[in-house]
Amino acid sequence: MCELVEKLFFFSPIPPFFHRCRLEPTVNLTNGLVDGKTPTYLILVNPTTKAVMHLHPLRSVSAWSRYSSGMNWLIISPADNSTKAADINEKFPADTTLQVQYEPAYSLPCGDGSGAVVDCDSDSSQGQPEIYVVSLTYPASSSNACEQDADMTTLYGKIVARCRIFPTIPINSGDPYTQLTFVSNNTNVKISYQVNGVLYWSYKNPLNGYQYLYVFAGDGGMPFLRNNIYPGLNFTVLFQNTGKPWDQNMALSSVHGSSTTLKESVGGSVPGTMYVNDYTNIRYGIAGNPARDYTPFVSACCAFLVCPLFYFLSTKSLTMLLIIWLHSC
Amino acid sequence: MAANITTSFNFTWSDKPLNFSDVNKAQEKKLFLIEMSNLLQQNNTKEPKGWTMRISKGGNVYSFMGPWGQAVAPNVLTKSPFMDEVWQDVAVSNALNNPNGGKAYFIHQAGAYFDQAANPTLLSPWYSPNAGAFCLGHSCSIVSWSQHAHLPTTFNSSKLVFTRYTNCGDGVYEHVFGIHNMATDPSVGPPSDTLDYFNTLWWGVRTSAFRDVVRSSSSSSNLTEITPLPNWDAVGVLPVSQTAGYTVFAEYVRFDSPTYPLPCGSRNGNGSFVPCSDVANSIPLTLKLKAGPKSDPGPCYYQQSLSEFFKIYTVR
Repeated sequence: MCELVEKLFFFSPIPPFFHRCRLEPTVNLTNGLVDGKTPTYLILVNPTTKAVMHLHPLRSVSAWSRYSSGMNWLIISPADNSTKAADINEKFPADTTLQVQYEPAYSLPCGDGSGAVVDCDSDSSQGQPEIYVVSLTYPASSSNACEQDADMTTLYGKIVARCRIFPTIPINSGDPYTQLTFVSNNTNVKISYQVNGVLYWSYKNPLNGYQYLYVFAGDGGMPFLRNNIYPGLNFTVLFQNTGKPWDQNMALSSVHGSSTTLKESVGGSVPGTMYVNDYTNIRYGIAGNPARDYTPFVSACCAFLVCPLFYFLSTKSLTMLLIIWLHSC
Repeated sequence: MAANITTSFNFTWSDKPLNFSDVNKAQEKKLFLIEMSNLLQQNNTKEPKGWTMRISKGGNVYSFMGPWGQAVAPNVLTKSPFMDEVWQDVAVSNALNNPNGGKAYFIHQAGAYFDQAANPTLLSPWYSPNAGAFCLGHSCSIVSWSQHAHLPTTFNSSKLVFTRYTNCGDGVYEHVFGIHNMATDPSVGPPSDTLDYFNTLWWGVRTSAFRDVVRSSSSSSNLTEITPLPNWDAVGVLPVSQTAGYTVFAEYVRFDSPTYPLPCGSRNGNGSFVPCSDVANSIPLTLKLKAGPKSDPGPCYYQQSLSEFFKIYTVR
């Protein structure tokens, strides 16, 4: 088995590290998800705190609950090689019931053959493009498949790479604002690459008819693409959930109270008590004009304040990470 | 209140990059009253508890800076320079408020709209006058005469507002305010007005800094996550009694991905997979972490044997 491991190629930038975690008694499962059986990236989630940890794309779970030394063990490999046991224990302390999630496949657009995008169910649809890279000097097979596009890089101010692909449905548009993960479908060699957006899915050069995938290069930049993306690879595209885990989310909070027994103080007003004529309500939402960059939040209440009465109210605001704030409650 | 709290106050305006709109930022100096800071690290995104606020003459907060940048809206509208999209209280007399009749009755803590089209003689924004301010320890107290927001107006403002901001430490501040109706005789009509609707507070955040909201719920132990935020017009009011007390605005909350179906194992305990549909022979897998010994209580730890076996760094 040791030899088998040595023969595997881990082209994801960093080889995986293994972690082993104690489980409460459960069923014995000596295997996990192994190479070739992992449909997508797996993510461990703490459902209480929303803390997450991405597992290695190619070797995520070596054993779900291997029974050894009187204990069930979960053996996992984080995606990030800097993740240590202490980091995992902080996110997933004892008594946490882990939830496993996965990054779903990205739905590629469909084209009608003209370069335009059409509904995949429409009569004019000719299907989705296939991301099958070929040599830049196709049909020669020995050169690179990807190169930096100097003009596009200058235009967008960030590295734009283009990879020549086998003729497919032309799609002259992309999804430049979504981070995506390209995972090779080839079984003998696995490659995983995250891009910072796709400029064109399968741009067809009108001068020579060649087709290219244009991407905003991700980690590793052009060197990774030149060294690892070679003719003959085809890819599945996965959506990358780019929202921040709760323990990385800076947050600003308003403590406005809730208890109806506190009458018109922080707990909210109660109609018919003292001088109160309605309940306290809150309302929030983005202001209509986006240029205002403004999300109003209001707590409204209704008291009869005739002269010379005095209305008093106290609120608190907190600034911290979302998850730390929860811990402090 | 936490120990070791430090607080600074400054009554002298200084030109700092507050990241407000070019349209209105020149007005900022006119309304400045106090700068107050908790003196924690202002750029620590891993422990984002440092803040510096600026308080206006009206006693409201109009700038709140921290590791996230500026939390208050950029104030892009020329007719409302720091007197609408700020953190303030608002008072209304429902009996007298008649916007359709040209008599809007909204008293803003910050001051009046700077609508030069409706008020050609208005050459400068009219901010609520300050009656007094005092800072000591970790608190600042301000008294101001709130003003009618819509000019011209036939109404007088009888609203005097007492505001106190306290640095509670650990990133928390407390905002206490009291509204005093200083009209002299409630029976004779304006200016002896009855105030019967309040925004306590009219608050808000910069959307680009905090794009998501996470709200507590009185009917669930889980937070209610709203991603992305709805438009203001699309949301009705929510009784505060249903909220369990707090609302959190966060940078960019990760929403859940699809749940991966965990495999089932064999009832005979041989470690193999059995389809979960085979109820008679399968046992569901549960991944509940178990604490280790007292010497190493974490559930997960480095494992040397697997490291050597796989020739990959392993944690047991």
